[in-house]
Amino acid sequence: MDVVEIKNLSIRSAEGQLLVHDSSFSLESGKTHCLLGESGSGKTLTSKAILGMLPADLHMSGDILFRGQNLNLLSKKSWRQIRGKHIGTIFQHPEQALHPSIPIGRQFSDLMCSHLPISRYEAEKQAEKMLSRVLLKDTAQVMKSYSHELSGGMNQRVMIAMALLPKPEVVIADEPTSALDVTTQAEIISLLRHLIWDLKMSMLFITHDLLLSSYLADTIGVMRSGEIIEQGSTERILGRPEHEYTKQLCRYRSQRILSKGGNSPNAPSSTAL
Amino acid sequence: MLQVQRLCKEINGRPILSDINFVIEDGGSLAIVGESGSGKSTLAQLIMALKQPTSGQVLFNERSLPRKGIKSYKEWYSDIQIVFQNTASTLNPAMSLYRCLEEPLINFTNLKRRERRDKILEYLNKVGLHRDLLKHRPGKLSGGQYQRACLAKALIISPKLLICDEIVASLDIVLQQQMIELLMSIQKERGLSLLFITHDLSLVPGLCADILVMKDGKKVEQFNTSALHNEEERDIYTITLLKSTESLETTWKQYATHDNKSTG
Repeated sequence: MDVVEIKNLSIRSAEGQLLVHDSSFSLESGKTHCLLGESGSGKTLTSKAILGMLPADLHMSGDILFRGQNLNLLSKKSWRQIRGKHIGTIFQHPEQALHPSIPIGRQFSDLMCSHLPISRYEAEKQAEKMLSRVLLKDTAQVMKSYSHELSGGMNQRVMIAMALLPKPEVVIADEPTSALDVTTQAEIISLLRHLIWDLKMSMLFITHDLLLSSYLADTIGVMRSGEIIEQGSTERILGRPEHEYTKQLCRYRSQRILSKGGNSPNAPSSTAL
Repeated sequence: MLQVQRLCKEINGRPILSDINFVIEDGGSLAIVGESGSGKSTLAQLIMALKQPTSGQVLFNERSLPRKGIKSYKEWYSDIQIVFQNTASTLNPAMSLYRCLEEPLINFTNLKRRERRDKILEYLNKVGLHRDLLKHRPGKLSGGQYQRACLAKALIISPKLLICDEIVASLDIVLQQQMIELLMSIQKERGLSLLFITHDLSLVPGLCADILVMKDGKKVEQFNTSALHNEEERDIYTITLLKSTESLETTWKQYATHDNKSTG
């Protein structure tokens, strides 16, 4: 079953320039769909449209169906009830998404209490449990901290915990690791994959990184200049790309494989032990 | 030959770099690999004499870092040039691209107007930019074009050593690969020495002969690129870096087998 269905989504700037052109795709229940594209391809705008967070000067047309309900017709207030509770979000810069002058724990309880009829005490207890699921140590200390006291990787773990805690049906993750170091990225991505599977959530994952899409996605849509030029199963898109652009991306990515047997034409062949 | 000897840098009593030693021979290439906060960009700034070291020294062909006087700085920069990641401040936004590229020629060479023009066209061609762009201001250029223009500006006075500080980190994969191939061909053709600073190990094979891994301002280890996979010799941190990328590559290799065959 499709949880989210995007039909003929178009986004125009105030000057009438077409930023996203007639995009359609759907997100199956329990699956991960990846929007893959370079900067400026319109992938972030698409995700913002689904969240109802497009800048006010952009015009949007088309349908965004969440469990059959057209989000495009909702009032701001009812959209806010869906966002956070039913659709969780993880952004690239958690420092910007988290409040700088409210302790992490308080932000958790604000979020939970605005969506669910529970006490702050209960909300914070649940939050602490979730923080340990994203493999943060000393969760009591983290609950008392402000976001600027935590490292980038820790903030992103907090962000993931916050997005997943209300048990949303859908999580939208927009380049959640591209500002992190490679070692942290690897940890966070495998954690995210594990949690999404465990909680049986659907995820829309937005990235420019072909490796990440191969690791996480069930299906991939390749975006370029505001258009989805090709979409299908991960196996089909990465294994048998049809569009010239996708072929080029895959070819370049393959040249950069580090591990042994990667067939990298640039790499020296003397990697034997 | 660039010699970096026992180089240390402290800022407000906090060590940013401690005891860094390495040598790049003429025509040699070294990759500095490290995560954020490893001190790799500070190292580049020290070599470019943009900051003064707390102790230790940097020698290029036996000459030490310039400290004062325009002449000694000029001599240093005619040998060593740098391209930054955040290039938006490299080219003067009020000048045309032509004047941006002409500026180093006026400052560092005695070429006549026509010779300068030929040189600019030669280097523009080398980095794969169209000459129509010359009349535009740098703001008109796309990210990839801008980065190429910066490379042309650095190379146009024929330095002996080029420092690249994360120059492809903000580019997409197609442009990244083109940039790397461009560097490889220029290096081969000109015998240019290269100091390539990056957080991404996968950029290094084929480009640099040696790798120096840094962490928290210290050198972890230095080794020949071909020994990257030699796990018995490698430091545990280098292996962590390598495995971080490789763990994501496993699924890629399953899916993209067809693609590998066609390019391998």
